[in-house]
Amino acid sequence: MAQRHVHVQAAAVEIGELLARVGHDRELLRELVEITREDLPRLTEALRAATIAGDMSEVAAIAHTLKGMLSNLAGNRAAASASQIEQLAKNKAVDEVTERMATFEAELGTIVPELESHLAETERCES
Amino acid sequence: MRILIAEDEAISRRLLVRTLEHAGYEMVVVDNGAKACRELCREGGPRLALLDWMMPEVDGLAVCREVRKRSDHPYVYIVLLTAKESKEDVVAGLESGADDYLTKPFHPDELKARLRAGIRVLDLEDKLVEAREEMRYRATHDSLTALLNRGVVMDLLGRELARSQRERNCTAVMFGDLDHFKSINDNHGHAAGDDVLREVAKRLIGSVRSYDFVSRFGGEEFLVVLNNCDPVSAPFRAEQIRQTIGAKPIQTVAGPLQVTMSAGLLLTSEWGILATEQILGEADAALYLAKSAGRNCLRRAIPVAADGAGVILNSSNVSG
Repeated sequence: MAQRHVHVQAAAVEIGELLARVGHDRELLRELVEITREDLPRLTEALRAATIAGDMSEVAAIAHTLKGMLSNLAGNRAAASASQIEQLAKNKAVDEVTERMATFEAELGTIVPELESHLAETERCES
Repeated sequence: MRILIAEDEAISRRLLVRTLEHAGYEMVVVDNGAKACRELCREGGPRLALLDWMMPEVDGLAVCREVRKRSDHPYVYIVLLTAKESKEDVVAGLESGADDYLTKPFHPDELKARLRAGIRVLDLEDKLVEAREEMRYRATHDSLTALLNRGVVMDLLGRELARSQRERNCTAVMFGDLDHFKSINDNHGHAAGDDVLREVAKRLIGSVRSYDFVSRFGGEEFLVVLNNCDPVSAPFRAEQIRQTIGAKPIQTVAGPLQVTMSAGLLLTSEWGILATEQILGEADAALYLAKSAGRNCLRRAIPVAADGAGVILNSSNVSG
């Protein structure tokens, strides 16, 4: 019998973990989403610019900030990627950092929509 | 308890603030190390700090080192927040002066527990400082009257005399002794005697300036030092101070008692350079003359050039 492979895309944000972290406080969750909506594009853009400029110390610093931010949001996969980029930047591995950027940016791009979707769902359940 | 939160990353900062708001902390929140340094190093700044390790301008380690340079300020308990987990990083953090560290993302209960541990350390430090201050006070003050004791006033007088010689100022040294104090103790009891000593101390302190010294030199003897005084008016000032003792009866457990003081006064401007002990010896000799003259009066120690320093004139009035 032919085996059926079902590919399930892992969630960008571990929502259970995030809700536990905010103490299931919807208001706080909304605030965090708002901050992320504002800060994440800015940090992503700065990371891209530093990578293009080959400024690895700046890349390491921004990746470190992103790692902390994403960990707090339970965006664990993207946080792990940020950590890897930070390490590569510290090792001055310019090519590897550049190579990883596209994937990382794609991961970052899923964070806000996923947070917004969870938020909308939470609000729908409560209304 | 007021706590400083220094965190440049907004999500982490918001989560910290919310957690500590719920725990009832008062917070000062900054987003970089330079601001954290300023807050922690200013007078009355927070004594509990949560510092992110990696911050722009000045990182958490540098803030720790800066705060620890100030050894004469109250202790600041510092918890470093870090995504770094290697043993080398932890050692570097603690070596820079942090007391504890917490890895991000933090767990709210762990954060609160670590801060409570910090508060226990600060409370302990406060108690130690309080105990040390109390011991220092006891070592420098007379327990009955709360006046400076003999040891400390000798030290202060030595310094004041050196200063007045250097600046060519006048210091007035008045030795006062309560008249017939023994009979107060004998006739009215030691509790009444203690009441008298306490009230005399209060009257003396109340009649001098904040930068003058009053000491219980021993038993019923008091030393009053008027720093940087005018040599012309100082004898009248000293006599006024002496007269406050007998101005009105002193209320004691044995009822009101009339008490007087005899005093010997020396103005340093009238003497050459003398050691502290010599100055006290001359003032004491003048006090002896006041006692001999019938008590309840003041006599001045005045050097006679022909006979050399140390000869006391039995002056009959305060202006010598």
